[in-house]
Amino acid sequence: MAPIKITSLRKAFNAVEVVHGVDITVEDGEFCVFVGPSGCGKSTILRMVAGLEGVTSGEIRLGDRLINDLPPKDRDIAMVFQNYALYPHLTVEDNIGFPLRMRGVDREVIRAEVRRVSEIIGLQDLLARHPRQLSGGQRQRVAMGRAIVRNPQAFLFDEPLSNLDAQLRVQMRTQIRELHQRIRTTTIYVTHDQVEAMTMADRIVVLKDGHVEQSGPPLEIYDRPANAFVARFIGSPSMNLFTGALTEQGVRLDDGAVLPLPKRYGATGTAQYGVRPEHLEIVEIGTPGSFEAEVAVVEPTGAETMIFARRNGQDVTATFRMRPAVKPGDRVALKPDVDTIHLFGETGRLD
Amino acid sequence: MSAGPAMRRSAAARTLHMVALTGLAIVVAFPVYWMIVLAMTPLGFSRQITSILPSDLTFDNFASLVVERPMLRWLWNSTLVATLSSGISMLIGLSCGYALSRLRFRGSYVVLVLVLASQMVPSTSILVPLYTLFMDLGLLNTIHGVVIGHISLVLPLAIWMSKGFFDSLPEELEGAARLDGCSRLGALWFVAIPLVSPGLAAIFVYGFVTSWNDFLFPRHFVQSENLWTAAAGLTSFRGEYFTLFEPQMAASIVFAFPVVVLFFFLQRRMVSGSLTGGVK
Repeated sequence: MAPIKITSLRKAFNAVEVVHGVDITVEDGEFCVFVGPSGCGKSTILRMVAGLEGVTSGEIRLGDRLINDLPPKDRDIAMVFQNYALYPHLTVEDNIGFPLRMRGVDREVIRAEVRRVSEIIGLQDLLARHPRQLSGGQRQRVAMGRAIVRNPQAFLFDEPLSNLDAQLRVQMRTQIRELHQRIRTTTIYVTHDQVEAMTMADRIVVLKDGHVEQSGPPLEIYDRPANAFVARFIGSPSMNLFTGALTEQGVRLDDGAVLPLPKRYGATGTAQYGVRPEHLEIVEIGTPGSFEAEVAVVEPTGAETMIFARRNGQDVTATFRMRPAVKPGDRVALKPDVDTIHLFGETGRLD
Repeated sequence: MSAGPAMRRSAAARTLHMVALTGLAIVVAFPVYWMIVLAMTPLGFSRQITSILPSDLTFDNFASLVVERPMLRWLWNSTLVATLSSGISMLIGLSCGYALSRLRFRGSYVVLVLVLASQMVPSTSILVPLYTLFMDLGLLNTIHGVVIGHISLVLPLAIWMSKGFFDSLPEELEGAARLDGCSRLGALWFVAIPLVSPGLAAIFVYGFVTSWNDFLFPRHFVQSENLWTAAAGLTSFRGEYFTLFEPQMAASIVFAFPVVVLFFFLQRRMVSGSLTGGVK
């Protein structure tokens, strides 16, 4: 086990640079999730750490070792691929034992190790099968078994759950998390699903267009997103953002409504006013600091009720613990909880 | 009642179908039947055909192949040439195809197009240049000369086929193998080659059949009868004024047999589908 330190990492394919000088440190034993929309460079960075993609410039260190130019086999890193990449011509037992076989481990030791690992991942009864005889979830577990069997210094996961159905995904999420708590190996986990990121990570790194937008513990990123992109990307349903002019009284929207601020900001100009769906409440129409919107859809999920409304052509989402008596077509006034709002200028967060 | 005409039409269509298929089967099977009939009748039968059924059956024609001609020697030469040229083409095709599929390098596309272009040149048109080249290199009248000639016939398609097989193999499999402790070569050996082996079998069969059937190169590059392949040997039954059809047909049967056997044994290996389950 070892920390992974990435410094000024760049990657260019021919003339096109896709990763622009990224700095990320993953502490020893940490479960770090790279999240971002597709094309943000998260998988490319992961493949560079694995050694499957060359480094254009910058450094990748695993513990004290500079691993930039080491071939993948000498890096002591295991990886679980999005499509599992199981060896179709080998049985489950031989798939899991493959890394040990390649290291010349004694046949009997391999058998024992494969047995030990298969119990951890619950595949002990399927060892004689071939990958084509397994379900998606089982294949996923074989891939994990193959990764943990050799006690690597770090695990890499490349969107490992995106091929599973929703229910299995939630289940595997917990299993991967549990596994990590048990073996505490430094892990980088790549996903485009921010729910996965929020629920699994010790630390989230939000990426966009080859840059790190923000890095920190999930709740810190949720509570204090560094910019409008992170604010919108993290959290489900996502944060409502209103663009308006920053004034002494608050943020004035184009229809004249003024959204209240908790304090005065020195800055002026255009700003984005962010409020999470759970920080809106329904108030009497005309209440100061509120804005009006027309309810479009009401979605009760049982524990919560979600209201999708439209204000001046813009979508607004609000969630409530109690069950508000509104129906589609109603006009409601929504008031942000002023202490929890987020304000973003052009360069990022304003406070 | 309304189903009547439709039923009748479908019955008519079925009859037409059967007639067409039977006709096609006869067209395909008759030459083979006639080859067998001629091979098993006494010399001269083919000149006075009265029936499509043989009158006397004899194995003399087969015996004469061994007694009067070096047919066994020719078959051995053919086996040697076909095995070597297809085996070597398969190995070179494997490494070239892998490189063209997996490595990014400048000009790889040009290489592919040139390889394909060389496949388009008919072997007849390179016969004379090859002849003068082989003369300079001292490869005329040798078995290895024919082997090299056949490699040049088989290799372009072998490279393309092999590239296609590697292209259809997900790159992650080799990536996983490399992380699991393989070098690039190790990943090729332990993971990629077992998975493309049906394709390699197909390349081998293609090369073997091409070389086995080729008559042009052995007939022109080799003068001594002893070094002919069976394909070249088949023409020895044809004289200036007459052809010994019956022994020639016997030789043809013997000539066709190994290829049929090869197909029989390799067809199972060529059935793909072994990739299922590895990814997704």
